Amino acid sequence: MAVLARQPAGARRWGQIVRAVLIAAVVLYLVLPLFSTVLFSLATAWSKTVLPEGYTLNAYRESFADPQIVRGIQRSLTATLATLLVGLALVVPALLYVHLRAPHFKRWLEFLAIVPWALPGVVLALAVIRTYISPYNVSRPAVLVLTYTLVSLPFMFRAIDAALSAVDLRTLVEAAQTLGAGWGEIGRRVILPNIAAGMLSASLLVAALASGEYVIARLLGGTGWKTFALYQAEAQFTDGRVAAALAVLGFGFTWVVSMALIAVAGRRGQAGPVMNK
Amino acid sequence: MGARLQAVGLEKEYGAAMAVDGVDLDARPGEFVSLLGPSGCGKTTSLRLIAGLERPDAGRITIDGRDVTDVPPQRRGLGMVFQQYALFPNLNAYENIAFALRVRRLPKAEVERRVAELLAVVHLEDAAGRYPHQLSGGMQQRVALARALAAEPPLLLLDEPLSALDAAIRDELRTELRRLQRALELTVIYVTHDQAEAMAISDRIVVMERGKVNQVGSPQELYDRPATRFAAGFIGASNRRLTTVELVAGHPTIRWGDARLPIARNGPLPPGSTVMAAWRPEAATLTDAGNAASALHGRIELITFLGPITRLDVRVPGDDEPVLVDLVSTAAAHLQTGQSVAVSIPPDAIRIYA
Ligand SMILES: Nc1ncnc2c1ncn2[C@@H]1O[C@H](COP(=O)(O)OP(=O)(O)O)[C@@H](O)[C@H]1O
Ligand SMILES: [Mg+2]
Repeated sequence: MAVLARQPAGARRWGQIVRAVLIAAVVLYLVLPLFSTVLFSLATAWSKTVLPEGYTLNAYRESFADPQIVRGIQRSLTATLATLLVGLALVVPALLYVHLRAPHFKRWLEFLAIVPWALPGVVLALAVIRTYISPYNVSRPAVLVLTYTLVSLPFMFRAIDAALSAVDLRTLVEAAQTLGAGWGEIGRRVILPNIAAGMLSASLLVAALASGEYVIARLLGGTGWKTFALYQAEAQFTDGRVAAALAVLGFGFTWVVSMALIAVAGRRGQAGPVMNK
Repeated sequence: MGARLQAVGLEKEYGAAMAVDGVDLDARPGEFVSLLGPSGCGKTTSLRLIAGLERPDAGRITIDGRDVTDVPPQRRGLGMVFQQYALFPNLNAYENIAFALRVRRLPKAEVERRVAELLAVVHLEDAAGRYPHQLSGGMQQRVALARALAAEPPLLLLDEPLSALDAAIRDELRTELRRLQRALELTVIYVTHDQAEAMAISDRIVVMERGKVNQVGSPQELYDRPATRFAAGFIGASNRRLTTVELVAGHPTIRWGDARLPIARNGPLPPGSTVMAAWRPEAATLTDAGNAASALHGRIELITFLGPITRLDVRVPGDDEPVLVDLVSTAAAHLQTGQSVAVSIPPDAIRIYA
C-alpha cells in the first residue's frame, strides 16, 4: 500500500490500462476460437457476414442421429470408465499398503508411477502393439484401456497420494483399532472418507484426459474400434459444422469435468482434513 | 472400576536394537502409573505393546488376569490417547467421541446420552459440531480423551498427551485428567519424559532407561531415595560429582572440591572406590563460616529468586562447577552475590551410588 501510494497517479493509471489490455488480449486469444467454433456449429450460413446469417441445431441433431458417432461416444465413455476402474483398483490398494505398512517403499512406487509419464504416447502405443497385439492378438479395446491406465497412473498416484499424505492414516487406523473397530469398520468409517476426495479428483483428471484422447486411440483402437475423438477428426473432412458440433460437445464434457474438479478441490481446501503435525 | 494390568518380561526388538528389553509392569485397579524416561528409552513401544498395536517378541500381558498377549487391539477393550491427538479429520467433535459407540452399534438414544455426558465432562458442550481443524490443541486433546473414554474402558493409555500443548493448558489439563481418573477409578498408564509432570500426576512412577525398568516407586520415594545414578540424575535437581570414599578417623567421607564431607554409613563403601555422590539443593543449610569444619566454604556466584525459594550458585574451591543451594526466600533475603558462605550438608542427605 505504502509503495503504491508513493507512485504518481498517472503512472498508476497507465499500469492499470496496460494490465487491462494484456488480460483482454489473452482472453480474446483463448476464447475467440472457441466462440467461433460454437457459432459455426450453430450457423445456417456464414460466409459474407460478420456474424452468421441464421442459427440452427442441425449439426447437433445430425451428430446424434449418426449411429457411428453415438457408438464412438459410447466407446469413449466405456474406455474412460474402464480406465478409471482399473486405475483405481491398482493404485488405491498399492497406496494404502504403502501408507499403512511400508512407508519406506513409497519412493519406489512414486518412481514407477512416473515412468509412463516420461514416454510419448506414440512410443507407448507402438510398444504395446509390439508386445501384446502383434504376437498374441489381445483384444484391442482391452489393450487401449490398459494403455490409458498406464498413462493415467502418475495422475492417479499423485492425487490419491496427496489425499493420503494430508492425514496420518496409520495413526488414524490405530486409533480406530483401539476404539474397537475391525477392518470393515475401519475401511468404511476411516479410510474411505479420507481417501474419497482424492479418488474423485483423480477420477475427474483421468476422465478429462482419456475421454478426448486421439493418438493412442488411433494407434490401438484403429479402424475396428473408433472412439469419439476419431470420428471427430474424420468429420473435419466431410462436414465442417458437424466437426464443430463434436468439438463443442467434447469441450463441454471436459469443461463440466473441470468444473467438478475445481468444486471438489475447493471443498477439500475449505473443510480440509488437516492433522496437526 | 479400573482393571489390573500386568506385563511380564516384555521384549521388542527393532532391527538389532532392543526397544523394550525385559519390562515388567503391575498396575493395580485405579492406579495412575507413569512410564518416565528420556526420549528413545522405549516408553511408546511399551505402551503400544500393551495396546496391542505391536506384538511383543517375548513376554505376556494380562488385563484382570485375562491373557491378552495374542488379542488384537480392537478386542482388548482399552482406551488410548495419542500424542498428536489422532482425531478423525472427517468427523466433528461429537462424531469423534461417538466413534466407539457407533462401532458397537449402540442404540441412538444411548449414543446421544453418552456423548452429551462426555462433552460435559471435558467442557466441550459448545464445540460438538466443530471439526478437528477448527479446534485448538487443548480442545483437540479433550476430544481425544472423551473419545477414548466413550466405551468406558477400565484401562486408559496415554502417550505424552500434553507435550504438544502450551504450559498453561498443560497444567490445567493435567489436573483435570487426574481428577477424572480419580472419579472414574480408572487404571491409567501414562507416558511422559517430563519428570515434574510424572511427579505431579502419578501414584507410581516407572523410571525407564534404554528399554529397561530402572526403578519403580511413588513420586516421594523416587525423589527421596533414587536407587540408581540414572534416577538420581533424571529426577529433580541435585548436586552430583564423581568422587572417592575415604576413611577419616574411622568415619567415611567424600572429597568435594578441596573440601571433605562426612557421609552416613549406608551400605558397603569400600574406601578408595570411585562413586557418584548426590544431594538435593534444599538439603543444605548455610552455617557461620567459622565453626563448621565439615562444610563447603565458597562464594555466592549467583542468586536466583524463584518465589517461595531462592537458589544460590556457590563456587567452592577446587570444584568444577558451582553447587546449588535452595533456601526459603525469607532466609535468603540478606544475602548478596560475592559473599562468602559455608554450606553444611547433613551426612545422611548425601546419597552414594557405586
Ligand atoms: N517402528 C520402529 N522401527 C524401528 N525402530 C523403532 C520403531 N519404533 C521405535 N523404535 C526405536 O525403539 C527405541 C524406543 O522407541 P520409543 O518406544 O518410541 O521410545 P520413547 O517413546 O521412550 O521415546 C528407539 O530407539 C526408537 O528409535
Ligand atoms: Mg515416545
